[in-house]
Amino acid sequence: MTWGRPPHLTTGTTVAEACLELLEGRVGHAEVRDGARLVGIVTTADLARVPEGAAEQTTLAAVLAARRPGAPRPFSPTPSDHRPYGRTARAVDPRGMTIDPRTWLEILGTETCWELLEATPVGRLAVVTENRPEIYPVNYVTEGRTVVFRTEVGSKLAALDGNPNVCFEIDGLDLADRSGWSVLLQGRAKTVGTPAELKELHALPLEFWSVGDKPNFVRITPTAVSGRRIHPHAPSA
Amino acid sequence: MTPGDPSEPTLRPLSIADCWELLATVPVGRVAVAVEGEAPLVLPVNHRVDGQSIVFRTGPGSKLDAARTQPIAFQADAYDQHLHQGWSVLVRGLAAFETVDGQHLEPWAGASGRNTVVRIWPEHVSGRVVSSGALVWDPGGYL
Repeated sequence: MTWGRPPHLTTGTTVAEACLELLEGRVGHAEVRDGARLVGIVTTADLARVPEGAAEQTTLAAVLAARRPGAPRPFSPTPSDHRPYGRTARAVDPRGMTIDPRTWLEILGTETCWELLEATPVGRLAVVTENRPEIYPVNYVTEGRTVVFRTEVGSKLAALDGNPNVCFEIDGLDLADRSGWSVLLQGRAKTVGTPAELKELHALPLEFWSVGDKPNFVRITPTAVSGRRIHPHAPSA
Repeated sequence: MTPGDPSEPTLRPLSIADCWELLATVPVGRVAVAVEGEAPLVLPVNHRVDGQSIVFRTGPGSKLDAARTQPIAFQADAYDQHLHQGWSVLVRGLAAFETVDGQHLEPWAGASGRNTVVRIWPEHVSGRVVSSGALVWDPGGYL
């Protein structure tokens, strides 16, 4: 398996096998195929919802079926897990995911957000210069609970000097069932300066695709991390 | 890697026409608005290209209301992480809020109550493409 490449699994793959594949590939999701046809994408969050005792028996077909609107939901929280949350009753599962049963909007737990951040190679950095927002894609890696990327001396960095408040975003779309997820990380960006830190950062598996020397490392220390996954709540028209 | 090596990554700007064409190939982009003293607000949106503007749906009382009085940015991209190829387009402009008039737009999160269309009138459109060697990836095939 190529590092970072979502594996192609079949509908008959078990959850236990899929977990191993994702662990080995260090990725957050796998494509599920029926022959050559892409039938869905399962994420670590989907797999985490299957009780551990059922992982050997549950196939990815069942995981995908459970996500469909109106389907029996074998892995959804039991009624006893429901509790009032704000003004609406929401289902809360033990791993910290919150699913609104009406919209299938799932609030991703912090751990899931970081899993997705670790598994994604490209994010978007939003910076503000003189009240004007700009968004750029960047290759990044996570280090501890921070996001690190490289940049050349230019507009991105100039903006950070003036206003270190940034938002970092990643997202993904499951074209097969129209569910999508996004993770937002708000924080402060700082150019990494000390030689010791730089030495450490040069050892990180951070690749960058574009041309030019990118001598500067920038680290975003988050003040807030949030994520959500939106499941389609009605069949496609 | 030596200079002139065909596998060396290249970065080139996209023409405005290419930018618009590529924006229409992906279903999801992101909008950003400045928030005083804080990190900017960023939201993923299901967008469409309508002539020389970008439209997407939102609900009333959205956090995006800040864009009624402030500049907005829209970005979309696609990349192939194995070939290290991709493009990104940034649109900076002003947002106009309109009421839905039957335009078919999928909101990012459910349709209920999302009857406001935000239209971004561009002031500045720029884009770039990164590729190692020949560009072989299908721009519509990712994200």
